[in-house]
Amino acid sequence: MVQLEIRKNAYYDSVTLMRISKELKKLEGVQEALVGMGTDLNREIAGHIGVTSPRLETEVTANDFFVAADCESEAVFAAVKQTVDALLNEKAEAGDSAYRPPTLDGALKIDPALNMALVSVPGKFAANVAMECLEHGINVLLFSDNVTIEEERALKEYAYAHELLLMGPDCGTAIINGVPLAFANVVRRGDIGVVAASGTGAQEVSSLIDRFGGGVSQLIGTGGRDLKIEIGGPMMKLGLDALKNDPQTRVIVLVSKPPAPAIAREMLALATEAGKPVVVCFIGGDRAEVERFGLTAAVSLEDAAQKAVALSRGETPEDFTGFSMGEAEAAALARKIAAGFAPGQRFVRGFYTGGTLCDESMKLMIPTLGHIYSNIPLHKEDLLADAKGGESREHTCLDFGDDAFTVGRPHPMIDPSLRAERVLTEADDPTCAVILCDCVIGYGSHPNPAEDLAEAIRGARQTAANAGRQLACICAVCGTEGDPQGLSRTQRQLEEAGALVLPSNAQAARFALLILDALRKEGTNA
Amino acid sequence: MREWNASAVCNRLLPLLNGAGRPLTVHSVFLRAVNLKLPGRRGLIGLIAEPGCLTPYSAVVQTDAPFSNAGICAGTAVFAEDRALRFPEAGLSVNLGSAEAVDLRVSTIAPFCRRPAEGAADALTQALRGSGAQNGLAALATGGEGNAYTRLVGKRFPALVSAVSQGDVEAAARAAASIAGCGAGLTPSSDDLLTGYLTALPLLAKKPREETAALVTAMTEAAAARTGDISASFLLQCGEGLSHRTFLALLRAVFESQDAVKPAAERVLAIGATSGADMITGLILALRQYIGGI
Repeated sequence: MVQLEIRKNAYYDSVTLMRISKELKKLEGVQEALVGMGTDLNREIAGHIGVTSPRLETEVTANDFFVAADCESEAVFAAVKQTVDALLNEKAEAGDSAYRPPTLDGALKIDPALNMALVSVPGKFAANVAMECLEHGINVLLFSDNVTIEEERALKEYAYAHELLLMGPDCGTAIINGVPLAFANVVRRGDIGVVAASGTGAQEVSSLIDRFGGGVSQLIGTGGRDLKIEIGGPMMKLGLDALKNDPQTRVIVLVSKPPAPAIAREMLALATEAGKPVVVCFIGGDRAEVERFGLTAAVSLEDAAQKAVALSRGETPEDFTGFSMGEAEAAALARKIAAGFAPGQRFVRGFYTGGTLCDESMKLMIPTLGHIYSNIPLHKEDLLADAKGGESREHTCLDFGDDAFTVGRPHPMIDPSLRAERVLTEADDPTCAVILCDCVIGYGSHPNPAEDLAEAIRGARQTAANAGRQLACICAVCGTEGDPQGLSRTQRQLEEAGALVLPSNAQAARFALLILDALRKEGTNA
Repeated sequence: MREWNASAVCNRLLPLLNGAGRPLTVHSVFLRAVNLKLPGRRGLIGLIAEPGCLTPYSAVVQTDAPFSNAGICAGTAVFAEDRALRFPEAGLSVNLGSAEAVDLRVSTIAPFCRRPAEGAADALTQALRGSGAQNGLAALATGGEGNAYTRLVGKRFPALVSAVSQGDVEAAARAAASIAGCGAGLTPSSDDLLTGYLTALPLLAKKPREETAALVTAMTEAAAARTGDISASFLLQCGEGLSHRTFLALLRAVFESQDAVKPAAERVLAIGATSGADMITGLILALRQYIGGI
């Protein structure tokens, strides 16, 4: 039955009208719907698609809004009208509560006390926008990338001189006064402050701090280039200083790839003056150098979190390089898995959405494996040509957040489908034994990143099984129970697809090594 | 009384308001725009919140609240006084006097240059394809998947092209009327397509400017009579040889520099839900008609 709703002299913006049209077509019992202004041609279209009626011809004019729907019943049309009302009211209420002033001046007019801005504009405009914020005394999280190193230096010189944070560029994670910014996880508030030159590194550390029962006071991002010689580490310095003087912070964690030696020494020297325990995670860096300064060195992101929580409790921090399930159980499981591989299966393939997680995994595995080909290789000679379109080579780990994969596409933490496709195609390679993946949840991430990955794992394992092989798919979820996606819910999805889910990225990488070691000892695939 | 300031104003607006004897009336109110009706005038006057696009007979205003929450209601009176618009029932005054006055005439673009920059048309089409616009008429330019609207307009558009090519004013007006008012948006897609097409026509047509102007005026008048007030307003402005500031920037890029086309097109694509895409569709169809090979 065709039903019609008319609103005389009613004008709604086009985005709202399109949304109404889209939502109505999803309603059960609605065969067809047309939404629009009552022009002659729109009424003609209504006739073409079977939703016209005499009232549409006689009562509606070009300045009237109409909804015409072919519904199974009047009850269904009542639902149609309710949906239209709900969407129009949502728009009206959004105007009230979610008004976003379109300019900085407008925002300051509403709230002159604003002191934090998140800047996410195309790179060529980002420096100017960030500087405008700094000049108004506003701290900045600069999410944008493609900011030149010269621009970054100028911004940070200004920011440092005025004791303002310029977190970035290309900074994806921060938690300031308990407020998560950009990609961040829901973590308990506590007394551990983090300064990180790494997005997923910060997410892994903060999530694990929460899981180990600790809490985060502040998480300050610096951007990946902050500790380069050309920049000199101003935001790491400012962050350290801020946490040193923050009465809520009792333990400090520094997270970064190993900086240039001179910068490292400067940062470590500053850290010794913090007056609080400092855990330093220079991923894959020289722990002896850190310990020479009397600081606590971490051998992995997980180890950094463990040690920070221990220090926060007044306990002595100890290295954690094992497995939560226990060494013996892990070894037994690895042997069992290794026994199931077909001849020829011998390589690990890691596919990551978080660059730091990929980097950490490679650093943990490379002392044993020797070479790991990658688009972000640890050794230049291990650069994988055509990482996106080509095939994996021997042991391979790929960062799907790297530019090669993200030109014209959203970041894989937002759209993980490309990584999932790679998992599926990898199953055709008879030399692939272990697939390693991260799964990052939290604010900003895909609402259900495990879904695509689980399906790909299911498909890959089936493909391998059909060819008489088995695939060991090992995953680690970076996130917390408090995250919108839910840690255990995400882990369960992956387990149900046949993945083995380890509690941390480091454990996942170490477990992959355990399997390959068991395989080697088996001797069947030497 | 609360005061907001306009940062930019169409240079035709203040003279028009100075001549207004009677109060204006609020025609429609949105989060980021208000339309005002001036007695005796068919086209509407617009107030647009920053950083929105300046359109003919409008002003861009620095707001600190949505228009729809500022106490402005349809049907209420507005007074044009001392280079300001006063909304007594809302306790609001919008000052226009210190705004940058902008000339939105299409004739300000490359008056001596009639051919688009090489590669500009391709860049335009690629930008349209890349936008993924599905609900409007973009498929008429990109060849993508169509919809009920593209099927209707697509059948009738050749008659319009033929009438325009022959300079047949009456036939062209009938053809424009035959496709006006078709589409889902507040400004139906076909009206935006016509606006894009007819704005570019004077820059491309090989006829004398006055002839083309007469054609455009007749077509926009005929189309305006077949659609709602807001869309009609834009069509009539097009008939006067005026256009949106963002669309003028795109036209400039099309005629001057291929490199500038993509960013300019992206700013137009951001207009409305499909309005920008439909205007670009109209522009591409005009380019095809006169240049070919796109």
